[in-house]
Amino acid sequence: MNDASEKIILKGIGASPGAIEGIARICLETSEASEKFQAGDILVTSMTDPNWVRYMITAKAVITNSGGLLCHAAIVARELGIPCVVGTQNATEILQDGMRIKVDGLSGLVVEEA
Amino acid sequence: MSQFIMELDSKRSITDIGGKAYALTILNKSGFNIPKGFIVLSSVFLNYLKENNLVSKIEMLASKLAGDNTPELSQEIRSFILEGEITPDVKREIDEHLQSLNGEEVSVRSSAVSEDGQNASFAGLFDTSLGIATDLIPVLENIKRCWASFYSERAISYRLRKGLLHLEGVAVIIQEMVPAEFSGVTFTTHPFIEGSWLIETSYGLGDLLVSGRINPDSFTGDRESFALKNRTIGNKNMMHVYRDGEAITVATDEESTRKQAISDEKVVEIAKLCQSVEDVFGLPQDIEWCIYNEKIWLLQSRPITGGLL
Repeated sequence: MNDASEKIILKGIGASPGAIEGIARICLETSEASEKFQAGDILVTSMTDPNWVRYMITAKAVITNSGGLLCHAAIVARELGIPCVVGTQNATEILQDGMRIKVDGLSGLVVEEA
Repeated sequence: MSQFIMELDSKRSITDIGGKAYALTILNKSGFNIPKGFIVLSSVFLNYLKENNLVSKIEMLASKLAGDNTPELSQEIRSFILEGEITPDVKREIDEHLQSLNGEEVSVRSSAVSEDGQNASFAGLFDTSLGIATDLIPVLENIKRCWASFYSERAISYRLRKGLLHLEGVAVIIQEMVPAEFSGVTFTTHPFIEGSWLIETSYGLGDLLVSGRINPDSFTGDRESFALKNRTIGNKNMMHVYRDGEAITVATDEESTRKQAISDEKVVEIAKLCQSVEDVFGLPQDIEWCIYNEKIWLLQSRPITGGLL
């Protein structure tokens, strides 16, 4: 994650270890997710609740604006074994829909892929 | 012994009272500080369904459940349950037990038999009602709501995914409301840092922390020595507080938002307390607690499962 050609664009709390690359999909509501979220996308949202589980199941990773290690998003992501970064404050504003990113669920860093 | 109700200090099997209530009775028996209350047995729900001729209706609807029709069928089953009538003998006993409580308000929570077990946790799937007036009518209404929430869309989807039954006993826990000044969750073993515990805390009631709507303060410490290893202060920009019998969301003032909510000493005291809870259950625990008037109250304890799927 320390390659100089990669740019750290976001830092949150690493809530489920693992590093993965993929396409960021910003979904503020589940209705938005039902329209555009595709299996294998990285789900970027403000927070999750049980209604989000159906999208989390097919997500490559999850990034949220708020929450700690014991919040819903973190616990579900760990159970699914996918990387998760929580408590970024503003992931849904900083990241752009369709952006190619790398998520590190241990350090909490998100970098933009060239 | 009552047919319908159990005190938190008596003993019944997990099938009578569900996993969450069972854990509370163990905490109580072991001398931990929990809010005063009682449990409406799971059989009361099953009898309620019988008395109101709902068993075959629910079985029929449940047999039709598939992914797509969940919203409609869920709605239908829940309205059946909300419209039923609780029998006079059950009402009388609930009323008597309410009279024995001191608090003006209670919390009403479900405790399903398969909930919070080691294999499947319905955490967060069912309704919890906070700050209900300690009067018969609102309490009965919220008991029905708890029962109905067993058939919420997400609870049904969860059971479809896990292949669990759609008909089982659901007990209801009624406890005096603690107007929490601080709340938190303890994992007696950290999800991915070996040999550590993890505690997250915030202001007011604990639901914003559990749902992840705020960024809590987070503490990691050593399981053996309890010494703090790491501390992150979160952005706790809002809280749920309990005012005039109502849980309301208020903005946290700027200073408190970035300030450590609970002292290091208190965090370590909680870590030790939670370790002794783990010792009682013999497995790492996920414990919800709150602080009111300096006193630590335990609200629930369950094995760490992950288990929200």
